[in-house]
Amino acid sequence: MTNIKRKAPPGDFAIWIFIFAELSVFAIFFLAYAFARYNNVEMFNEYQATLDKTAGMINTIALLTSSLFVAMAVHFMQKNEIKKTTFYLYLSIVMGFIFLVVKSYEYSHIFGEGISLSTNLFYMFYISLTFFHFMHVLLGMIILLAVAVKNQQGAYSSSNMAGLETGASYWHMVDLVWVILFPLVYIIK
Amino acid sequence: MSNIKTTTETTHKIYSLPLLIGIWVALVFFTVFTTWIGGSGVFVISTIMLVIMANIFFKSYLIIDFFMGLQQVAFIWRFLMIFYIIFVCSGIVLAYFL
Repeated sequence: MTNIKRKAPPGDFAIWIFIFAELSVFAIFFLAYAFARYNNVEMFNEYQATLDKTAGMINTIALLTSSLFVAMAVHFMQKNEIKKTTFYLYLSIVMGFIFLVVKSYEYSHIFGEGISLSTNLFYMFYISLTFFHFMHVLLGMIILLAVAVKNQQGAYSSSNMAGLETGASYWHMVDLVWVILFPLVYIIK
Repeated sequence: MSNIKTTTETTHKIYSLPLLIGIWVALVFFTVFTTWIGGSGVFVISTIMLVIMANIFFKSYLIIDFFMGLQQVAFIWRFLMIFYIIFVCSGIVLAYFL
């Protein structure tokens, strides 16, 4: 089997414009967090210690696993195995749901203690950054669900899988952002 | 001449399942390692910081190249993504070591 190097990235070109726009917004958030911490190192370290690192790690693994399932869905679509593609797309949605459940548990814990955006600068960044990402996970799951349903209806094949690749690219972007966000907010002191 | 369009002309090279799973195992390993080293207190903070940054870069590279599949497209796309990671990581390192 010969492999011809494709010039265009996977999926629709428009999704890559969207992905870079989203990544730029997250980059501003990350750098704002890092430089805000520079002026409040002790306060950031004190409140960072209150975060549940295990929950953060579980969520990272959930998203990485979800990304693996999406990559496997693309793998099976390339082989025209429609049912396996659909199966792995649904599995990736389940992993995304686990992420949302764990994150909601974390939110319920901190909101239950009366912590809000106005509590201090650390929590302002923590809540806004993670909630912004939370909404992206939710949107990604809706996109994957739409792709899975369309796939079940026979919309995609190995020679027509731009829609699937578009959804997959967006989901990998969501994963990539969390790979930076988790150590930055939960781990680095 | 045949009008049949083969998958190799329209899609990426098919990564094998063992390769994808191997990359996932590496990603999970580095995630657990990041969490461990962050809470271990064994190393000085600047060392932990640099190890975690290297970790972020390597994990991002694996996701970009293999899960996103940018290893197989025009170099500019891969460059843009890697540049993004280097830009963000450099900014974070700068803020921490100022």
